[in-house]
Formats: sequence, structure tokens, C-alpha cells
Amino acid sequence: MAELVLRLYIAGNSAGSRRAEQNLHDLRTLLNEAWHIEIIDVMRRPELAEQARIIATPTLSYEHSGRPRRIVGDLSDKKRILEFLGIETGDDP
Amino acid sequence: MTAQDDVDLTGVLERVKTGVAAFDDLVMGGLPRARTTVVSGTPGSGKTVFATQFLAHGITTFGENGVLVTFEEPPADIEANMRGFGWDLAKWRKEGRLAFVDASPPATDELVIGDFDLAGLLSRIEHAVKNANAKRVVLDSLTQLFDHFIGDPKILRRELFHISTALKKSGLTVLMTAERNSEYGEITRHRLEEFVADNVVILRNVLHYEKRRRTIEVLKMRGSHHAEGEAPFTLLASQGVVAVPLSSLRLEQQSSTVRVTSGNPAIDEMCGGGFFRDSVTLVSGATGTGKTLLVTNFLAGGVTAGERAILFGYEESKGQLFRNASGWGTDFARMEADGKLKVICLYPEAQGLPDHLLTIQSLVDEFKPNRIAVDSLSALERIAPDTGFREFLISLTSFIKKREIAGLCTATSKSLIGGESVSEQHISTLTDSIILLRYIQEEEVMNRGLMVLKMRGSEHAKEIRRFAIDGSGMHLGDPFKRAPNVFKT
Repeated sequence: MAELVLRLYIAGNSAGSRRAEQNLHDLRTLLNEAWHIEIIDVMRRPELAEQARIIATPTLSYEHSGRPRRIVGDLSDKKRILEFLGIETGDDP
Repeated sequence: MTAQDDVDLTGVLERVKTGVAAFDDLVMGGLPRARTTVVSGTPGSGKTVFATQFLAHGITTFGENGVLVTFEEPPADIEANMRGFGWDLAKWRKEGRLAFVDASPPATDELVIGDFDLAGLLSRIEHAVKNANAKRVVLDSLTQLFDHFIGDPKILRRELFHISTALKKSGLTVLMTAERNSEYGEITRHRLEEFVADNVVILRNVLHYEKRRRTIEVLKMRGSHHAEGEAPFTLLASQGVVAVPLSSLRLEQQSSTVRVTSGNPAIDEMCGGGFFRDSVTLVSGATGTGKTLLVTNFLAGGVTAGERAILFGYEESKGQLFRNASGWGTDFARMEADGKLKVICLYPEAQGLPDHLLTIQSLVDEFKPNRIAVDSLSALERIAPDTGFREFLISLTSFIKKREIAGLCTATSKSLIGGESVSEQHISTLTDSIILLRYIQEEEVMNRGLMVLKMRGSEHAKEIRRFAIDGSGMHLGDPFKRAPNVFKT
């Protein structure tokens, strides 16, 4: 099975970025082992932000075979995030 | 540099030239360095062209590289669209003098929930600035950014303020474009200018008497003077935005005391020895009174004296003008063959007044005549009444004087006997001299009369002279003894 990647683009130590990181960490517990998570700081790696054409931070990006799906914001609403990404979990988050 | 050379420059903002010469004059030399300017306008008003020109001239003329942040079209489209203005963005990009930040909507599904910032965008801009060693940054257009994050205008305001501040702190001169809904109303959609702009410039594209009239206005310039009101401009292929300089900004023309001939010795005498070399004379009269004849004499008189002359005709074709001239014993064809005369005939409706002005200016600068005639102003007035025409006249007369050439313009009065024309009201204060041609009824005969109404800086004859026209031109006769009151203007 191909590796599933979620990339979180954050901006340094801003409060929003830290919250998003924490929320993604919580979300991680609901996902199975196949998911790989990358955290990218746009301030340190602007060329990666350029490549992915990131405008807002935090942005969670799920790049798959179809149109990439992106969520802008601090990822506090876990249910909507999973729905939007089309990720099914065993239990109700 | 212009007038500010004479004043104390301490504490005065350093200027960044936009490359739109007449616009730079409006803002006292250019946009202030390390400041943010919002350029606002309705769709199609020329914002992207203006913004790109600012970058293009930085790169080609001033050695200042640029970054173009595009929110609407992808870079490839912009490169294609701007090629028509002679700007090879792709080449500059490859040379590392221009960098794009592509913030056009990507093909992704996106969900926005909760608070966010634009640190992603800022870091990309700063990255591009560093790569291109840029001094100028354009964001085009903010309105698309607002449409992208439509639910969060408050966040965007805060973030754009932050971006603007960060870029200025790096010494960058920033130009942001924004859309507005109507030509006269809210300055920008979302009222962007209130929180990011040090300076606000408005581009307008108004439908006025079935003609498009483009103007540029400097609305606000923090900590600096600027000219007020709208200045006309035009969009030219291979040049971009060309603002039309308004003479009222500078009244510095030299006043020459050198006299040149009007082409008719008797009129020279009435004017106290001829026209002044850098003056503009208006010939006003009803149709058939001899205006075009005076123009012909004026041109032929110059050529005979060894000068070069140019004629812009808006009423008759070149063939008609040449035929008229030979009917009065003047051989225009030979003069033109000798390279002493240039005759350009255009339909007034062929282009807008600002374009007519630019045509005149570029042909004059190319041909370098000693005298210029325009026949007639009334025909040009037809295509742009009131404001536009007045601006045109101001610009034309000041241009003629600045080039130190003698000008002769005609205006047609509406009524055959006596009477004033609308052009006269506009023109009379702008021209240095006025010659009136009128039909005058004496008992059963209709005669023609000529009068020098005004001659700035010189004595002139006050009488009304009878004149006749025949195969050798115009012949002035005796003054009228009891002419009816038809010379009022």
C-alpha cells in the first residue's frame, strides 16, 4: 500500500501554528499506521512553500492521486477535517 | 529632475520612478521609496499594466529588480499578455531580474476553518525578493485574495497590514492593486486602502459621451505633496501607460521676443511685426471666411523663410488641402517633396483626444518643425466636449510653447455672421493671439473682415480690415468705417 502523506505547513512558533501542530498530533491517534506526517516551517523552507504554492498558514495538505485537499486553519474541528479529507476511522472522533 | 532640486531635500522621501513620466511629475518625482501604494480601479482600467510597467522600468531603466505576486492569472498568462507592451517578462525571469510568486488559485479543494495567517505568502515573497535581489514588489490584485478567503476579511486586513509593514521594513517599494466597483464611489472593494496604503492612486476608465476617457488621479500621498485632480492617460501598444502631461503643472515656458511671419505681410504689420516664435495664435471665423487660407499662408510663409512646417488637418483630406493651396498659388506638393512641409490628415473620430495629442507630439518631435498648424480645433472638440477638450488644449499649447515653435490653430464659429464658438471660449485664454474673421454686411454686399483681437506682449492694430480672396491668396484692404457689432467674443 502506498504511503499516505499529510503535510502541515506552519509558520515558526506562532500560536496558531503550535495549536495546529497539537491538533494534528491528537488527530494522529485516530489514524492508522499507514499515514505519514510531515511538518514544514515555511519560514525556514520558503522554497517548499513556493513549490506547494502555500499562501496561508497553517495549511494541512493531503496530496493524493486526485485534486489535492487542503485545510487552512488551526485544525480544531477534527470531525470536519476527517470528513473533508475523506479519511475513515474506526471510531467516532 | 524637476523643481524639487531647488528645495531642501532633508527629510524628503526618496523617489522611485515608475517609468510613466507624466505620472512621476504628478507625484513630485516618483513613488516614495519603502512605502506602499495602492492602485485602485475598475476592471479594465489598466491596473495590471501600470503595475507591470512599474516593474519593467525598474528592471530596464533603473537597475532595480522586481517581484510580481499574482493572485489572478498564472505567470505564463501574464508573460503572454504583457509581451504586447514590449515587456519580455520571461527573459527577465530567466535572467533573474524578475521573480514571480504564483498565488493564483491552485487546483485544490480547500476548506478554511478558524484563524490563520499569511506567513506562507510573506515567506514566499521574501524568498523571491532575496533570489532576485529585488527593490520593487507588486501584488496584483488584492481583490482576488479577498475573494479567495471570502469569509475572513478581518484576518486579511490584519495580515496584509503585516505583509506591507514587513516589506517596507526591508526597504522595498510596494505597489498593490485593488478593484473598485464604480468609477466614483468607494475607493476599493473591502476598503483596503484604509489599512495598507501610504499612498492611493486611482485609475479611471469612464464612458463619457460615448468615448472612453482614461484618467489617473493621485488621491493620497502620505507625507508628501502631489498634484490634485485627474490627469488623462492612454494605453499604447509597446509603451504601456502614457500619461498626458498637463501644462498647468509648470508654467515655465520661455517667452520669446523673436518674431516670425504670419505668411501675410499686411497681417504681420497688424500684429506689430509678426507672430512671436513660441506663441499660439487662434484664427476664428465662420465657415468660408478664410481660415484654411490663413493656415496655408502661415505654412508657406514659414517654408519660404527657410523654416520647416507641419500641418494637422482634421476637416479636409490631404488632396483637398493641396488643391485649395494651389488655388491660392501655393505648391504644397513641392514643399513636401523638399522635406520642408509635412501634412497629416486624420479623422477626429479615429482615436481619442489623448491619442491625438500623443500623435501630434511624436510627429513634431520626429519632424522637428519650426511652425505647426492645427485645422481645426472645432473638429477635435466634436469628439470630446468640455473637460477632455480643455485638457487637450492646455497640453497642446504648452507643448507647442515648450518646443519653441510657432502655432496656429483654427476654430469655426457656429453662426455665419458674428457669433462666438464654444472653442473660442475655451481657447481664448489659452492662446497668445486671436485673429477674428467675420462676414460683415454692408448694405447689399457681404464683405469679409479681419481683426487682431488680442496679441499677448505686443501692440497690435485695433481696426477691422476689409479683405478679399482671389487666385493669389488674401488681400487686405481698407478698415471698415461703420462695421456692425459682430466682433464680440
